[in-house]
Amino acid sequence: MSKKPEAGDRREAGRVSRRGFAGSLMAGLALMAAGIKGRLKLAKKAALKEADYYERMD
Amino acid sequence: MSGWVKCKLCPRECQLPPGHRGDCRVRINYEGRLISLVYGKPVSANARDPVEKKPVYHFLPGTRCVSIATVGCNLHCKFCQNHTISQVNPEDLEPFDLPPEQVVAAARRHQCPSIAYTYSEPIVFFEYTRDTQALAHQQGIKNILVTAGYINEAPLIELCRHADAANLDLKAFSNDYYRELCAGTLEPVLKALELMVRLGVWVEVTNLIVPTLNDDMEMISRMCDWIAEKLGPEVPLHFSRFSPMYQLTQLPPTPADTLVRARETALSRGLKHVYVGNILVPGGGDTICPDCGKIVIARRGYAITAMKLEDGACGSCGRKIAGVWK
Repeated sequence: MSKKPEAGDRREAGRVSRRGFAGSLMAGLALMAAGIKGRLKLAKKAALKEADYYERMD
Repeated sequence: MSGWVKCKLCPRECQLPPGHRGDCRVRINYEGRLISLVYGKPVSANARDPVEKKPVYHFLPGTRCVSIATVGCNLHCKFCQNHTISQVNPEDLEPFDLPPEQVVAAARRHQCPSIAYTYSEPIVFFEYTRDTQALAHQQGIKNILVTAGYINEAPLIELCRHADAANLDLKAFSNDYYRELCAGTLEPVLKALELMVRLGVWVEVTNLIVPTLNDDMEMISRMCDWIAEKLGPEVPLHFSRFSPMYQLTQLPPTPADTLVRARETALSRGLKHVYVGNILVPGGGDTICPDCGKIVIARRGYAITAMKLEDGACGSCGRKIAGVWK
């Protein structure tokens, strides 16, 4: 049975808080990854035609 | 610099590491090759646009054209009227699938004698423009470039090979203005104008007058002197009204009086065909014979209300009026 942190229990509250932050971070990163993936997918849908007037810089 | 490429299309000459796009948003370094993301993918396509809307007033007047535009632009004007397509990435809008053959087929189907590459900036969809232009010419259809002219010489020469007309947007006769409001420079635009005229493209110039920013009549005079000297006095000049837009919503629209004064200034500097657009000003869209002063083509908005042009000459006095009339 999980124990809800009680008011004044700073150590426990802190641990919960950190877990929340980490969760948010992971969710945010997942969303960003999905967004980037989606954008790349859309970009790939566009016709890819090699451009003229450029040079390699190697 | 392994895998980097340098784009040579426009004066920016963006140097791109793998995976990066140019300033125009539509050219990307994909595994060491520069790729256009918008070939055959316009986001705007209009089948029956009046050519007067471009505006070109001395090129097949009263006809319609097929207009196409992809996303992207290599300038970033704070007053851009088409910023919803010019300042976005290809993946932000769903494009049409319209390869060059279908653009030309649409022009034939709608009996349009010309195709306009317009709205955003045909320079950034260079390959699409060039291939469509070539195909159009094969089938007797003319091409109109509506551009800001911010391009390097070699690609411009190639674009002009199949361009019949162009409206070039000369933003102001000031490098500071180009730098601060458009993120560009003036000199390449002036060179492009001279080159286009030299290559035989029918050129008309548009100057959008933005209150307090480029409405100084002294600067307008210098611009007109330059046009008369370098391009010739017969090149039409269109003064266009600014409307609060994009990042310049705090400014008012250009007063009609300012546009009328600009027109008078241009005429006084020797230009023969000067128009006022984006606003209904009496006579502002009429083509007037520079010799006899009679109206040769009367316009109201994009519509032609009277035509007294006979074999490319004034119907009243016979003076030749410069332009492409058939």
